[in-house]
Amino acid sequence: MGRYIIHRVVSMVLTIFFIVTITFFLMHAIPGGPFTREKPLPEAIIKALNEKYHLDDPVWKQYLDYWKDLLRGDLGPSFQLKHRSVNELIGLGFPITAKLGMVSILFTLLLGLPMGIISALRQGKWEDYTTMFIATLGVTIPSFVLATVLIYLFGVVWKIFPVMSSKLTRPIEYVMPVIALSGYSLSFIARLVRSSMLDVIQQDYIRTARAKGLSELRVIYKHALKNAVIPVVTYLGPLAAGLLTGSFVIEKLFSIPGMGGYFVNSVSNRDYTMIMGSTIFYSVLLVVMNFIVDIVYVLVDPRIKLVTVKEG
Amino acid sequence: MDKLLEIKNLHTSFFTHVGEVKAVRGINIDVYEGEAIGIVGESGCGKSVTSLSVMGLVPSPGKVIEGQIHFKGEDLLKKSEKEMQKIRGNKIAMIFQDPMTSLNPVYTIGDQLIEPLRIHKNMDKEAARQKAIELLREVRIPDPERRLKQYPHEFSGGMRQRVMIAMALSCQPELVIADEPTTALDVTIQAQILELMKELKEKFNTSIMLITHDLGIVADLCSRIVVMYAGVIVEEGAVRDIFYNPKHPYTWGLLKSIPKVNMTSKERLVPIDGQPPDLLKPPAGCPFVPRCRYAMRICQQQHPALYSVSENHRAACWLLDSQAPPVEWDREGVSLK
Amino acid sequence: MGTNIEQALFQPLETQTRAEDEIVRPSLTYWQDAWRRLKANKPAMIGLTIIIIIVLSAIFVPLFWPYDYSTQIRGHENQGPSWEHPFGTDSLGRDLFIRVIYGARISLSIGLVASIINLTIGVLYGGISGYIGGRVDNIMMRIVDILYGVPLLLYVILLQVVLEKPIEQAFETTFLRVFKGVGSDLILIYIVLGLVYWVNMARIVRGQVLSLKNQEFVLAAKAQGASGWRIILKHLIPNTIGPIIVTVTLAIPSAIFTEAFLSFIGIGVSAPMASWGTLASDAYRGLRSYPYLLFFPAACICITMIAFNLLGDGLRDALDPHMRK
Repeated sequence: MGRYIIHRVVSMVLTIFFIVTITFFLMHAIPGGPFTREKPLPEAIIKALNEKYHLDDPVWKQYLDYWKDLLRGDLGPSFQLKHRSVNELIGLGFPITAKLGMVSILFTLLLGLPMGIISALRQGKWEDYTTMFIATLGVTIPSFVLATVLIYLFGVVWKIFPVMSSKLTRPIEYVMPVIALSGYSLSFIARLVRSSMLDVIQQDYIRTARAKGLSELRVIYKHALKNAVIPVVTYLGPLAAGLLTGSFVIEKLFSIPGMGGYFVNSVSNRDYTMIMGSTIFYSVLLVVMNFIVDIVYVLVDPRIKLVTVKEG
Repeated sequence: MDKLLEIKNLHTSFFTHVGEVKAVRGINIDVYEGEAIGIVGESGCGKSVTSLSVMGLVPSPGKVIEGQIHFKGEDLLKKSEKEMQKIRGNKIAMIFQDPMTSLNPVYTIGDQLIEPLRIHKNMDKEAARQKAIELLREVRIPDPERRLKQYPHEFSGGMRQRVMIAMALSCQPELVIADEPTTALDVTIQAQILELMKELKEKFNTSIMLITHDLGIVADLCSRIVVMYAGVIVEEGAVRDIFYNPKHPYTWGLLKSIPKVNMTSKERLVPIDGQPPDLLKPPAGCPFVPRCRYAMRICQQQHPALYSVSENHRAACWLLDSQAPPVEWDREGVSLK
Repeated sequence: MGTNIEQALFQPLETQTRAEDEIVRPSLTYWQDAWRRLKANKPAMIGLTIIIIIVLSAIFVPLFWPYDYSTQIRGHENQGPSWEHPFGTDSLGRDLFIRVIYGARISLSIGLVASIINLTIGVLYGGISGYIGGRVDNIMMRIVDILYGVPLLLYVILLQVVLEKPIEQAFETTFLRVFKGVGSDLILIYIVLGLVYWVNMARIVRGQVLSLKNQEFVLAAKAQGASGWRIILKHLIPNTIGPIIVTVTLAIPSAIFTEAFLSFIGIGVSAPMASWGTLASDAYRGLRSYPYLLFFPAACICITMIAFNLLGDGLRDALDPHMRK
């Protein structure tokens, strides 16, 4: 176990190093630099700006400086919003995005797991068909379409839920954004659990459990469930990634002042430090989450240790 | 000796989307108390389906459609699921073919061993644990206290099969059904497992139904053999009858395919050519016709009845009819181990 | 054993009559079998039909439709669906139906081109990695692992921003000028999506190659002195084709989806030709008054996604050799 964790930490650090390096050099490969505008700024101002942000230094020095700042947790100033640092913007937006994300993850798991399990246990019955019909729609309808449909029907036509969720202070404001954001992952999990459950209940050890004289209920909840849920753990990383990036558009549609909105704005304003900072922030966040998921995976599935022994 | 299990005219079919696959087509088997009986045949001949029918665990879309299975005088097929749960693992236990997949990978051996003791014998946790340790010792697993806390992947195949045996014996069942218990194991381990089963059978006086495709392994453990082909019994008799005086051409084929210890390089193992018939449309006559060197016109048209060869030795083959041409079985191909 | 059966019946059988008795299932090739299974799969066939209809309309409808995607019809602004304009018109009086059809051209071409690019990269990368094996494989797969842990959509956005200017320039200055009609926006999307999403393909190809590498037919080819490349092209790739087809089929809708997503947040394909995502995004602003403007492009995206997913799932079932009986 110790060795496994060390192995994963090393690969996590390596990944973060690559992410920062690639992101940095990509952003610096943009021709003309960050202050190129449709209407060119006067030479003197560009020169002053370049000096202010050390853009006249050699690239390798800028790279090292960026690392120095980064290790102190400083993502640098925003190039477009005066007197704001990237850190401040993330600090403003991220808590809101995180709240929305957490609620969506909970919603996804609380609804997706039972949907998949019921569907598998009632294979070929109406419960199965209904659930899988919904889940198939869920994985194929893009979140922004689902969101606009929800907004139009429940916000504009029937006026049941508020259209502008603003700061997510009241529970009712969560309803539509959470449904729109989790639609895909929820359906994906339901399908994943269903197929893994169908696979598990055909396994020999389930037959063994039945042959021991266990009741069907006990066979399912003790012997099948734990095995069937293991693949879901591996999906938690991509799930978080999907929810985070999905929130770009959801936040825009519901006017939620989260980090997604800032990020999308920074892209259309070509705010390079903000783009770079958010990309690195998101990526590192997800890499760390994947790391945690991997550790959880080991705790859930005792066989994993064997795999690492083979690898090491 | 009393009859412990009596299978009467059992028919089990699988209702697949292409049609009804008649996996077991009217078989009769008796198992006596303290007796070990071998059920032999190729894969797909219905022997595993027979055992699952006894357990009441025929997987969907399979179903027992006719017959009776009397266990100590009571028809198991008439019992409710709840009643069957009290019998499974308690009165009738089962050992499966592949020990690598038959244990749940996410629970410790201890958890899985304790389970039947807790539900059938109402033992408390500690008593069940003690009993589990004792059982592991019984099946010769060293250091049982430590082993109890380990997961299945930390055991070798042979060790896992020992665990499966310990689990099957935990509630001291009257009948153990062993479905190809050694097929997935190395030859040396096979011998050890068989030896262990033989020893435990004598110690606990358990009846055993040993299901296998390998005639070689039944000789040692069993007193009687039932040979199955395409869902029917083609020959049955004492081990001695089957090995020294086999009457069915299929049994001859099986015997020829057993490797012998004193085999010279000129002798070869003879496989049985061809495939068993498709049980979607079982043939009207003897199912072995397409693969039988001695097939006659009658064999295609009518299913042969069981002819008695001697007391307790019967075979379903038209060659035994007085009108059939005499066919001599070439004894050279076989030797009892 | 007294029987009253005719003695004649106890004559040995001729070998030929015996052979007839065997029930032989007709043996099919891999592709015939796969096609048979696919045909039996109703949802997959529905998906396939929808895809064919969409592709055919994207190709042929513009040839005879009275309006062009940019024609502004005075006096026809903001009309709801009618016989003349089945999907209605937008605020500039453009026929939405033909715009959606052109959107289909754009979205489908993005799905196709992006998938072909990631197919090429993925097959080369995964094939080489799996075939060479050893340390090379180890390093190549570590890189893939790293890419796997990264939120790729962010890098699509990043590349989009980074490559925007160079590609625009390349289209004005180099020989690429001839492709200018396609639009540098569109080319940019092709390249970016193609460059980013090959990781999955590489993994699948490598897995297949590894499992096939040591099988007998490859050994046989080696023994006959076939070169490494020849083995990859002639033996390994044809044998890995099933899972690859499935992955491509599922990659197409995901590329279409990603483009729509990017367009929706404002960095996809821009005017005058519009992708479905752009159309939906434009329509969102007028959602309260003109919901049909959103409905049609959104419905097209959904239907296409569902169709490709149904077909992909069907292909998976049909081509998966483990499920063959």
